[in-house]
Amino acid sequence: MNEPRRGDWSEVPVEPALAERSAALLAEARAEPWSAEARARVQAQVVASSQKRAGSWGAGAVVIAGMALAGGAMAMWGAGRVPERSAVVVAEERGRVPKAEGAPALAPKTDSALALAPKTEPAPALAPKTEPAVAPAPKPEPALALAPASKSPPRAPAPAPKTAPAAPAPAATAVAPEATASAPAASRASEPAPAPDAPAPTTDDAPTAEATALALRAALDHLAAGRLPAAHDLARSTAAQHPRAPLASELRLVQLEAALRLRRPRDALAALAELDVEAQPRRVELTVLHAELWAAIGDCAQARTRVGPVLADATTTPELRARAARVCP
Amino acid sequence: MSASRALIAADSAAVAEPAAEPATMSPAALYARHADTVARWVAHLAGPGADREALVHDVFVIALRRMPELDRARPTTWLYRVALNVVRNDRRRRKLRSWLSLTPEHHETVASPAPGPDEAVMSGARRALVYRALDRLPEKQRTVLVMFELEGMTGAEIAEVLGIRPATVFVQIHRARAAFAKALGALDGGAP
Repeated sequence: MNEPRRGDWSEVPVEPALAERSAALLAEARAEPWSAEARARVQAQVVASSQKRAGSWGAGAVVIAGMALAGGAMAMWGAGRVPERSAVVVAEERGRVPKAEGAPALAPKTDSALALAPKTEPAPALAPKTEPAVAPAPKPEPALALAPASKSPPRAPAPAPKTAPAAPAPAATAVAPEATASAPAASRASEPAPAPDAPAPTTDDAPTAEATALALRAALDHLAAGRLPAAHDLARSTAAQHPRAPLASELRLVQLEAALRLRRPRDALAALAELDVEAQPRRVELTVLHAELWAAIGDCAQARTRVGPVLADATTTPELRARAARVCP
Repeated sequence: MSASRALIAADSAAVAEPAAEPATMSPAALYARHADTVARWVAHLAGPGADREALVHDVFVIALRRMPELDRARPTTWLYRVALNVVRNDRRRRKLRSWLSLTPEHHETVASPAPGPDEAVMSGARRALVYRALDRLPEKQRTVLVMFELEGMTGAEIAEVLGIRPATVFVQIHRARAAFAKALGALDGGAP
């Protein structure tokens, strides 16, 4: 067969009018150049990413070496900021979580950061009512970070401590303070490159994608039905098993939502530690929540580290600003 | 200059001046040289529902990390493959979300809040219609049709990027055109 002639659809086996319309629409659909502002914005991000990785300008080999040293899991994409990643995840006995003195209850009523389940589903009161460390996330709202997050490619496994929470084990995991958590997380995908980084054709891992999609749906069903431990454990184990899956971050959000509604702040922190908060559409809200969780377990230093930039950001909404201001005042 | 000519020209330049694409090229230099082209690629490949800036960012970060593997004889082709894989991954992710009903169809809901310059030429609705029809095609046909019709690449260029034979590309273009026209007809007829 010869190369088709450009613009000539006469050989296409459809009605001529339809072929003509198809050709015309496609010819019109060409994208225009992007704006100079967008070009400059992305350039700054790319350069910052490279600087973060290499520590200096432009050495691809150094970039690779840096990635290798980082275990392939800490890619720094942001402009002048450090990605929010847990450096150490330690297993702890789950017990009652001490509420920090002066620490606010988490997830104020109307602006819960996390709500993945349908609105119809009531949140069962599972924790002791006498001394809840974490207020349950109230009425679930439309999916938190299930809105488009095309910015980030699927994530890669976290570095060292992947041994912890793989299975739906009863023992909880807690998040240790991060070694480098001096600033809020970086922008975009703070994850190393996914499958597409290789110039070779995409390695479509269909079984993984399908498995995680089915697990996510099941976890959401659990969540909707109030089977919170099941939702939490399924989401956590699946995300740990397939950390690079396209829906890994969604699984972590389900895990987070379940942990919040179970009033388990340490589990919620563990979920957040595995989540690329900065790649989520509601990242500011998640950052505030992160701070509230640290405050709830009594670590005001960690909490303040997170709310500081939120309060300093002029674009923070009044509601989130108020929540942030209540964290370890 | 057409896209295909730009592609060829860029590659030719690299062949003539191998030092122009060094393995340790600075991020700024690589970006300055290819940013506009990559932005156009991802806009065509991903369609109106995608975040063009994020995709371009991802392409360059990945490309910079893989610089030592750069095919210096064909740098633009190599970069195109990276872009193609980034977009495919993004599309797959969005498709999964859509399948799970976690996000509605992106064409209706994730449109850019501010119309870009391309919307000045073609209404967002018509462009979205094109991509809705494209999205009904098998992935390979969709890719080939976008490369041929929107990017203006030749069959040989497409074959090189995709690693397949030119004759295969021609067959796929032919089939993709037919499938696209039928999809468009179905959409015009109100098919879901």
